[in-house]
Amino acid sequence: MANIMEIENLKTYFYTEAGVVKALDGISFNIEEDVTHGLVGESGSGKTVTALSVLGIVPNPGRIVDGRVIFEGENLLEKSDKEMQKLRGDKIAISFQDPSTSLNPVFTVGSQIAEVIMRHQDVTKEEAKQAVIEIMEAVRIPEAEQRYYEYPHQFSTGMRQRMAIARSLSARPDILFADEPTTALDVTIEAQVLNLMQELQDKFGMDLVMITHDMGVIAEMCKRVTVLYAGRVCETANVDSVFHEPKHPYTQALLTSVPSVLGKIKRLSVIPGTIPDLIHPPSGCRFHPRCAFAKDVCKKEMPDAVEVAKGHESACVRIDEINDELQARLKKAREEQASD
Amino acid sequence: MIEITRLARFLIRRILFSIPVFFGVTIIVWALMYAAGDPVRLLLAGVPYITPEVVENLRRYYHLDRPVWEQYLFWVFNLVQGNLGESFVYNQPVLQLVIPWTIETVKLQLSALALALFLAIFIGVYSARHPYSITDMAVTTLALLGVSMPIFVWGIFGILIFSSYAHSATTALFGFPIYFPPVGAHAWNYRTFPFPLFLADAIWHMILPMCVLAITYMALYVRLVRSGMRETLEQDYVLAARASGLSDRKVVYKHALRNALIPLITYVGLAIATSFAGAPITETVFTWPGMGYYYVQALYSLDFPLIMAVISILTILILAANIIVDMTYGFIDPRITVE
Ligand SMILES: Nc1ncnc2c1ncn2[C@@H]1O[C@H](COP(=O)(O)OP(=O)(O)O)[C@@H](O)[C@H]1O
Ligand SMILES: [Mg+2]
Repeated sequence: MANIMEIENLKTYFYTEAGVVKALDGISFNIEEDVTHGLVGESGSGKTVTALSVLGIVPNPGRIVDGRVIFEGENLLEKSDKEMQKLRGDKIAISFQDPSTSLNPVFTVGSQIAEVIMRHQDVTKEEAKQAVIEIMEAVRIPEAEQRYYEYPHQFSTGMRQRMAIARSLSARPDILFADEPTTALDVTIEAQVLNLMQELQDKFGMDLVMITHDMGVIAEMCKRVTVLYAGRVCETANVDSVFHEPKHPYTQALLTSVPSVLGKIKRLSVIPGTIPDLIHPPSGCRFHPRCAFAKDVCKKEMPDAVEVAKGHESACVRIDEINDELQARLKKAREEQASD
Repeated sequence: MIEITRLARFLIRRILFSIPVFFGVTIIVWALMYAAGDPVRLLLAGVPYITPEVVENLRRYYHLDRPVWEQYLFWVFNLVQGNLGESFVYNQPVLQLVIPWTIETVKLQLSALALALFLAIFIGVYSARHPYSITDMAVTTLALLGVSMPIFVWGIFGILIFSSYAHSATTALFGFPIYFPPVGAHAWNYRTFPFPLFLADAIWHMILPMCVLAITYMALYVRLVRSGMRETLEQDYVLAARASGLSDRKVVYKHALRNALIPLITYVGLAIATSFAGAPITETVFTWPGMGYYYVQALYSLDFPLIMAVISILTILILAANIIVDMTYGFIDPRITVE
């Protein structure tokens, strides 16, 4: 399977007054062509920063300090900002987490989308407007023609999210990073937006990277998934194998904190401890202070994800020793959830 | 259509609300003016052989023998008919005198304000994008100096350097002087100038007072633009604009700046008001033939009709500026509808 994007040893640090925040500390994973890829992790694990780094728009005081992002045979991190401007929105796009803040409040939504189209395609204003109306219809905005002239505050939250998605799709990107497209929405609208994303993906033939903290969304939308924890990759594998046989204690913990698929009762087994301070991250495996299986070896060196089964990479150095125990725990937790 | 009727309703309402403010201001000034002294005695000061009858006649001529409230009503009655009375000192209809002064004041103040805003935007944006850089530090310090040093200090420095020193230095260097005129808005014989020369002369005279005024106004705006931009540059919509491949210029000067300007409008409204109110000081420093300069002169001689005319015009200008500023909000920020 060919890769559309390869991320290698990406390091993005924020140089704050309090110290250097190692938001991404050497993450690597590949995004395969025609495979919806999930990027999952708790809040603060570095999902958004990953997407921003790929696009080269990490905000101050952030800097990409190391790594490579290979796209169409070129390293994006070596490109100038001018060159990247041509790619942004046109080939690689991102839709932001919070639609109520990612649309500029003082311009009409229509003009904001038209602006992107005109930036990347050689079209007249009128043609751009027609293209916008088309894409507004594709994301099911009723009365698109009139609403073209409306401002963000005149749309409902769900519609605003669809408009924000419409903007990121407007120049027909090859790959879209959808950053928590459903987090700001309520459950009914969430389902609509997810359906829509799938539909658009088929329609526009783009590759989708779904960023979420919700394993349920991953199960529904993705084929492959990368689990992030505190700026490091825990594991990358097919969604099926991650759900059936996770190869990292953190993934197992995440899975058991998901409400049962039937969704009758939401019993979250919260992972003990908190996400670590990224200025002074724990030594070795970053998950070890919260890990039920941690041994001395886990504190010593920082493990990279390596292939532990076919197409399944894990960063747990003790995975072979603990695998049986890990799967047993997962099974038990699931049985408990099912019996509730 | 709805937009236009709403705008018209807004305008009518605001104008109606402004009327009592106008009369409030003029009544207060009227009262203060009468408390200040007797204009007839000032007029006649130093004139020999004045009989009490002359004084009485003069009082009657100016209606100064009537009760104060009656005089005020009389003034209002005339005002409504477009008659602002006759100046005690110049013996001319006040309106004729005041119109050219108003033009000079508005010309100077608005150009200074526009220059200040224009420069403040570029400096403020630069500072916001390079916070704590050397340029930013220098500019922020200068801005602080600008706000904390009053206009007459800047004015006197400006005149000293760009008129006085420039005059002597260029004379010594080239044999003829090149300097900015420290006095007046035109050359003495400007009425004989053809239009291009007239314009060039007017601009040449305006440069020094305009720049000095702009420096004092700019200080506040630089700080406002800087803090506004620091905030908007961090917003998601700016990141989103950048993520969609827009050029740096579009991202900064369109998406971020437009939002950073919103709080600035309030201050521009205030600034228009204070700049007109502050005109007496500026115009005295630069001997600028505007309302402020003649207002001070009128106060010295207690030229009641002239004082009232200047106060009325200033009040109307300030009230109008406020209405216009509130209307601008509606245009620049779609979330605000003028009501
Ligand atoms: N502007 C910033 N300044 C300092 N630190 C930041 C900034 N943006 C992100 N970070 C750090 O990067 C880490 C990862 O953030 P992010 O990628 O937004 O997490 P998430 O997985 O929730 O999307 C955060 O824990 C935070 O400490
Ligand atoms: Mg995020």
